[in-house]
Amino acid sequence: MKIVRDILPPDVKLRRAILTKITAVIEKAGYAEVMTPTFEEYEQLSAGLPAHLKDAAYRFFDRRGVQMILRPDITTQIARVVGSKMAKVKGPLRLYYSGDVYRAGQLEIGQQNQFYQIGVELFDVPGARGEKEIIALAKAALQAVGLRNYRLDETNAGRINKLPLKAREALRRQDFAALGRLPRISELLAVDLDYYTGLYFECFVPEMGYILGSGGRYDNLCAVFGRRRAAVGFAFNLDKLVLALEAQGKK
Amino acid sequence: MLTIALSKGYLLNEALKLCGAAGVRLPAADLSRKLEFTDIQQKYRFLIVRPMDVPVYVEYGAADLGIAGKDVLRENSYKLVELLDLKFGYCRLVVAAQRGRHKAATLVSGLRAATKYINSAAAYFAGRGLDVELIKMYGSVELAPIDGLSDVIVDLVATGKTLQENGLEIVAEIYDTTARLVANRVKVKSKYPEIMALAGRMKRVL
Repeated sequence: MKIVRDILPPDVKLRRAILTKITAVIEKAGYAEVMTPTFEEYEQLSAGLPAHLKDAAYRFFDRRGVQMILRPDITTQIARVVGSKMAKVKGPLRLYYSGDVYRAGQLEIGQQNQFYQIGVELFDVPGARGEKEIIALAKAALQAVGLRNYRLDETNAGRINKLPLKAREALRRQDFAALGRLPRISELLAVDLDYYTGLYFECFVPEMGYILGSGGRYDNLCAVFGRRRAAVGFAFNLDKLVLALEAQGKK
Repeated sequence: MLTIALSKGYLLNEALKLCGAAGVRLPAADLSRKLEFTDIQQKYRFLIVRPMDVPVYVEYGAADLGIAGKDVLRENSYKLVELLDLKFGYCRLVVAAQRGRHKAATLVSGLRAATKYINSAAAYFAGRGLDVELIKMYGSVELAPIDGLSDVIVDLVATGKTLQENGLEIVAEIYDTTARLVANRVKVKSKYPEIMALAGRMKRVL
């Protein structure tokens, strides 16, 4: 059972402090903030949403009978912006966002129906150069928050998405009994890989059974909104960062 | 130390036997009534919980590993890593009814079905286009048709003996199930060497 909740003092102060630390790190790395709407027309966003997010999203009709969506993530909105409105802005683009997202279902452990994400997106820096920058930034953010022993596990989503359907399905379900063999560490994934095209990574601390955030390369996403652009980024879940700090006795 | 959740009930003995064969040195005391114990070398901590609770302990990371029936894993969508088919605890999830009352081909909408497996039963009947009223049970499902609570039951069957004793027969089979070794999706990475060592030893003695 998941529900929405009120966040009271002093928790709000702790959350603000975490956001301030992460924001300082990513702004220093040259990233500029983008604000996107909490809801928008479903039609405008749906082309870029992977199936699991479409299923998870809250959708409703406005007074005109037009279908709307409460954003289930922000990356897709940023991709919409840079694929369309910012299509003529010369890259590389370094953008970040922070805000609430809303999901009616398909929640991971530690996610509420409304949860707060902070994330970065780097456009027009293809290949390893962009990936190295993003991974270094994710590590710097976790460091700044004050987490110990955090780990960042990398895998290649592009390679997994090229596997035969049966193997890909088994990996998506993380069903190695069906594959008849034990997993390599690079095959262990906490999240659906739908929109990733290359690097994919997950961040976690050993004290917790669920990931703090994830990221990777998604070079095909902007194209559905008008212009293909190399893209790589990550997002952290603020609630989970709080839980991780608590688990490490740092509240 | 690895924490392993085991299912209370018919899977427990086989699970402990497998752990023993895989080199876990279990204490000599009678373990069947304990809720929690560790092995002699203090490398593994075992939690004995209700079968339906095993995947929950593992999903939240309160246990690193668990041994649960595939039926329990199928009943809800848990985000877990399924490492091994342990081959024991073979059962079938079936639709059963009083002898001579129903056949698979003549199941009709409007029936009432009693079951512990609400989701699996719902998926099965929906897949056949049947509107069946489901009644959630927590045990002794075989009694439901006898006293007119339901027309059919959906339940797990090992030998079929309990069904027979209660005047019931299998009408249709939904799926087969065996015990599985499952792991938490993050713990399996942070404790990869320990977990793979144990899973590898289990795999060799299956």
